[in-house]
Amino acid sequence: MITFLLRRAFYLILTLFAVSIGIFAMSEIAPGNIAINSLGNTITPAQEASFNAQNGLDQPAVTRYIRWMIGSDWRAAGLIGYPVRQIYEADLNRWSWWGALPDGTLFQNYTDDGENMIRVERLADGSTRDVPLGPEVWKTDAEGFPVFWGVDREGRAAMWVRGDDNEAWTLGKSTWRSSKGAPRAYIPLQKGLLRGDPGVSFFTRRPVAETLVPRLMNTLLLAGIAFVVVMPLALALGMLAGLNEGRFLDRLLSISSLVATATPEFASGVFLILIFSTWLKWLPGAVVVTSDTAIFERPQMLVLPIITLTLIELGYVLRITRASMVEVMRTNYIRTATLKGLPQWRIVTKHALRNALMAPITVIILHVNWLIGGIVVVETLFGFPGLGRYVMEAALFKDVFAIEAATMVLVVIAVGTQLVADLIYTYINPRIRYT
Amino acid sequence: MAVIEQPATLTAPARPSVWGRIAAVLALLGRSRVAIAGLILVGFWVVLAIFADDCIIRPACWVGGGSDGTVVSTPWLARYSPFEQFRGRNLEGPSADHWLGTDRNGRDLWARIVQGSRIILVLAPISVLIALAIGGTLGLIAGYFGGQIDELLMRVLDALMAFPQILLYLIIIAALGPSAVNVVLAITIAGAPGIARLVRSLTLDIKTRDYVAAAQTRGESPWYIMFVEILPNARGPIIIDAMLRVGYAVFAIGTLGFLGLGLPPPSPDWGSIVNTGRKFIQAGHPWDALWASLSIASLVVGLNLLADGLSEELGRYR
Amino acid sequence: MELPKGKHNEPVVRVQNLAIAYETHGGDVNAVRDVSFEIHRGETLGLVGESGCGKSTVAYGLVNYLGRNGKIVHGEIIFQGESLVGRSPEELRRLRGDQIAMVYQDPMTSLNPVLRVGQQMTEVLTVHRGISEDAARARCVEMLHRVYMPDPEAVMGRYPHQISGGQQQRVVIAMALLNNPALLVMDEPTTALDVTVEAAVLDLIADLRRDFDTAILFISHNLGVVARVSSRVGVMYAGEMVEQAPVREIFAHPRHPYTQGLMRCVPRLGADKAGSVLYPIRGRVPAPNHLPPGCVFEPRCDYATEHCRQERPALRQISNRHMVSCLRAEHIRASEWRPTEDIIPLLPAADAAEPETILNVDGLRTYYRQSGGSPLDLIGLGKKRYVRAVDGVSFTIPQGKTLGVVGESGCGKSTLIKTLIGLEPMTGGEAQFLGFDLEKKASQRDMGLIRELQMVFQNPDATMNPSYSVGTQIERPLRRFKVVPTNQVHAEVVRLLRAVKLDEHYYDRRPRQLSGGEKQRVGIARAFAGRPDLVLCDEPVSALDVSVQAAVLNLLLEIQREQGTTMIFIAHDLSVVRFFSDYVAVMYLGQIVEIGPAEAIYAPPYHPYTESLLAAVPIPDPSVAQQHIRLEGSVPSPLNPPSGCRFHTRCPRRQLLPDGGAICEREVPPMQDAGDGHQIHCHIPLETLHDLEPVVTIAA
Repeated sequence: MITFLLRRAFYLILTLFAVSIGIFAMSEIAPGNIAINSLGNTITPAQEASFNAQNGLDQPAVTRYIRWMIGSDWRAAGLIGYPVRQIYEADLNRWSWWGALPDGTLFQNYTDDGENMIRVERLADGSTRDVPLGPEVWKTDAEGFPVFWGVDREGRAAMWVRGDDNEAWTLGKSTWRSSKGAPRAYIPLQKGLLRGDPGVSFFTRRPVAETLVPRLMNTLLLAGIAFVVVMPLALALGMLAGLNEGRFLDRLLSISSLVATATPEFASGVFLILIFSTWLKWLPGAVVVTSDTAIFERPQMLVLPIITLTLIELGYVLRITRASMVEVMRTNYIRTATLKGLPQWRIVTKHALRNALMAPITVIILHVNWLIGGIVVVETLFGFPGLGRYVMEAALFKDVFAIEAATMVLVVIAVGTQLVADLIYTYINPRIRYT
Repeated sequence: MAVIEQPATLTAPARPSVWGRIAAVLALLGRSRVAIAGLILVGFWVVLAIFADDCIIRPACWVGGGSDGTVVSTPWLARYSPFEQFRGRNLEGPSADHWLGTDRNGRDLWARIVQGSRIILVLAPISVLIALAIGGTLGLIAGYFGGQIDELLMRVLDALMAFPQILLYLIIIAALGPSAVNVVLAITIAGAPGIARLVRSLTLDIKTRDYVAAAQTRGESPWYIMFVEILPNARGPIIIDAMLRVGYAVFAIGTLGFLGLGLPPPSPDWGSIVNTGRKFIQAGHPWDALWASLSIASLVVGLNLLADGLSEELGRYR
Repeated sequence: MELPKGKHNEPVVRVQNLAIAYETHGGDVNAVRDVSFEIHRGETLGLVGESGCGKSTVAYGLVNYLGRNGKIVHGEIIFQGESLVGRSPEELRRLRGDQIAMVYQDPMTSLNPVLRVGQQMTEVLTVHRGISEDAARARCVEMLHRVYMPDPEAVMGRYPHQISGGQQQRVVIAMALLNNPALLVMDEPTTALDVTVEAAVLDLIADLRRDFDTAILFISHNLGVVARVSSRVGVMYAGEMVEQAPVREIFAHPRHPYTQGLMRCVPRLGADKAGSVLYPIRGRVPAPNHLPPGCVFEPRCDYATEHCRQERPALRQISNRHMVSCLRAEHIRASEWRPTEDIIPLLPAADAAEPETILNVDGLRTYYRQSGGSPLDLIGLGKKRYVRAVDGVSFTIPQGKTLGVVGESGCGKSTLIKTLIGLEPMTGGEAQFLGFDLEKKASQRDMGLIRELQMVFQNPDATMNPSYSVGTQIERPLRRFKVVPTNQVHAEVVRLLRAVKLDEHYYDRRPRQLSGGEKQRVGIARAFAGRPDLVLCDEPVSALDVSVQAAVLNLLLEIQREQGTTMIFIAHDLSVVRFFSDYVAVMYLGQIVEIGPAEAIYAPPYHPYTESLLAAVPIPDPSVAQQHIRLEGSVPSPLNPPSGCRFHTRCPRRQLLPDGGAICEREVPPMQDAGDGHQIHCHIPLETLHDLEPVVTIAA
């Protein structure tokens, strides 16, 4: 059994690895230029090159993949000679990267002339002071150039070359700014997805994690409630239909569940809004979130999204459970149980139930993939601020890091539930437990 | 349960003609009320799509058929062009002139819905057919050869299937831009792994049959065995699955349209009609969203009913 | 096994004119008509008949478990003096498992996979008797002891998949006996089991009937099995009971032409093709909705008269306790029967010249890689484990002769021929056929070799591709091997169809329009299309009903004699192998333990394993005395076969050796030559083996 689970876990990790490469490849290598998407199509080639360099987009795909997954701070720290640290600057309401001296002083660097490096030290009160560094900081690199590795004022690890007159373009509040004495190479600092930092959005200029987490929570709430509502109901109704195979109740449940699964969420959502919101005026037809707690203050906003989300799942799970129950009731061991003279309730609860649950559990949990599709549609339809809408917007605006992070989170959820399904399956199936 | 072995009826026609077989399938369908309901729903949309306008007899409008309506076709069942804007008649409800009402640009909703069925009934089967060709071949190869090839293929397909389909659509469309071709591409990529899995499991089962061994002992090539000996015997489940998949494809095309990732406007894509129409629901004009939602729901439900009825009847005779 | 009269006057169950129908789309189908019988305490009624004759329907009709579309349309079932027909479901439930218990064909699927054996057994007692869980457990353990289950305490805690098939059937039997039922219905209880396991289960059933004094309805298609356990036998045909008599009487003096026909279809153990002929019953069982107007057997009967065509005979008493439903029963004698021309096989005389060796197999090995269960295997570092399916097999076959291979499931006989034909890769050893090396897989073999080496398969439902017509499928090898010019292919197919006793109308038929026997004939036509020199037959008749089996065996013999084909013939039925083969090899765990001329194998000296197989064969003749030799335990895993002699863990004859056969565990047994190519791989000296009593003796 342990082997079975280990094997499954091993394959899931392998799958996740493959998926992460897929996501990375599709969003960063596939056609579509990140610079143009982020900055508009009026930029000059020089600006584009500079943008790519600053964001590490000119580096090989493998380097970028590694940075995305496990970060670049450790690599930068090795080059700089001091550890680097990310802090939150409350006054500026932003996160930034600094180098850390042995005494704990945080610093960044800049030079105006390519000759005299300046170390900007951050004081306890958040203000900074410039400390000029002597010429001894220039080190000769492998190719014989005198270079200096430090943290630039934008919070990137950067390499300056002595006497360099490099020009860099940065987009300020609204205008392009060109600066001389810019670094020759950059390593954008990032902790990496595995350490909870999927990067900074090109679109909002905020760390993706910061905007993603609250959205994820909202979605988990929505999907969680839907799941808790659906599962017991669908399993019970499915069993009921399966036990009454061919009778009226079965026909009714089967046909209505078929209609429920076959109707796209946006269509059933529109029907529900029309009925309950426009005509009956019982429930709000949209989720309007004005504050973090708005959802809890007006929980009735969630009713229609949840129903819309559950209809498809309800029908699907019901159908699977019904089919499984019908199949189990036709097996030889149910015949044995019947001919042993057991009462019907005992046959159902002791002999049929566990066998009938075995097939649906795995299939149902694999259906989480569909649930995610439903979430995107439902959140869009009702304006619910969740991860589905987040990923949708990120895709529309081609916000690469946001797409990557949100997709990975959703895939981890989908794949994680597969492992849960395996665990449950192993628990209820002795043939795997004892081999 | 005791099963009565039915000796073969010797009077059965030896080699049924194509029409005979179609008649047999229809007779089979006729037994199931579920299948009949499905057939009626799907048939309704197929007829509308075919006879929407005179394009069926004028190939020119297929070739030059731009979404801007430059090529004039004579509407039949559609009554109007889906692009014609009736000035001053926007956001109207159903009337004798405009059976289903008009949208915000004053275009006839009936015409748009009818023309929309054509889009969806062309794109959905095409994407399923392509997915079937790709997924079916991969599944046959994985199932028949087994071993390392199987392991590798299945890992890749597992990874693809672990991917929530909607994200696949989003990423593909985000990367390539919304267009009919990309929609088909996205649905094909999302659908092929599932088909491959099905065909693989069928192949694994069928390849243990003695007639496959007999072909192997004749020294037949693996391709002959896969496509001539195995594939024809897997057709039942594959056809039913494909029918369901056309339903899912319709579902997916609608969803993409709804999310604004489908065919670019002004094409009368059902999903897009819902998407633009839903903004007017609260304003008292629910018609765009309602009709398009109903259309898509009825088509998918119809396809599902058809598949369901068929598989039930086939299962009963197996 | 006659029972003393007067003691058990009231039968446990009396069935009168029972008729059962199934509702189908095409209207009601009468599966069982007018069946009457009774069973007394301590009596076993064996019900025999071919598939589709309605025996299982009778069994399930007794407990009124006919599914949603089945119903009793007519007749009475009197159980312990009360009628069962029309009882409420609740009343029936109380009887089931308590007064009437059942044992099923397939023990694996009859037990619930997710419940422990103990749970499944105790509930029978707690539900019907209302006793405590502990008391029920104790009783179950006792009952498991009673059915000779090794280590019953432990078995109670196991899941069904953790015990062997034979043990599963013991559990099902023990479960049925827990409430000491008055009636026990057994539906083919040993059909899914190997012959040695079957023998042990049949012994158990005989013991239990004696000890529990239960009335048993025992259903089987196998005449030998029925002969072994029954006190009376009922023969069913096309939904009707055609004959019923005490077991010795019916086997000695069968009165109904169908019963007589059945007995002529099966080879007696010891009979061979040189000295005896099998006579199939012509025609086939009529469909339940297309019955002949008169006697149901009339279209296939050699004695039928106009009278039989018009009047349906009833089951009537013709002598003491012998009932038969034949209008002419008094006028027909089995001994006076002469076969009609269409069923006599045309067997040309065999060539007397000393034949050459056509196939030479030396040390053949076929191992399968077992994907291991340890975590290391995930990354390909696990220890490589091999299933030694065939492990060092050597033999030769002379041209035109047949080598029969016998052994229980898992002994490697199927793998052996799959390796020879190139469906499985050869791991080691050598096989030479007509100067070709059989090392390569079929896909890489030379077309000339492929053509000379063909195979006939076991399962008639799988041997033909359901998507293509009969003609297309026979054409394929003709075209592929270029047997005849393209313009003569059609004619050749027709010729082949005729050769297998089918006519050209079959050309356009689809496999689903054929019966099992017809499909098997097409399979044979296809295999012989390229006129191969060697044909490998993998249990070609074991899935067929006995009457059809005889016809197919005759057909194979005819074609073989005509074309001089050499054959390897696999079967688990020792009588069939004996009948069909010139040489026989007995396999155990991937190795040949004994090989030699057929007649030598079936008489001492023989290998202890052969001896136990012969002792286990159910013989359709109650007058034959068989020695009681039963094997203990189950076949060891071919992943890790026992050291020395592979049979040492179960050998009943080890005691014949000094110190209880310690040598058997240490050393591989030597090959002992008993002359005439008869080889025995055993440590026990030939003389000792020679002195063993013959297993089967025919009573005077």
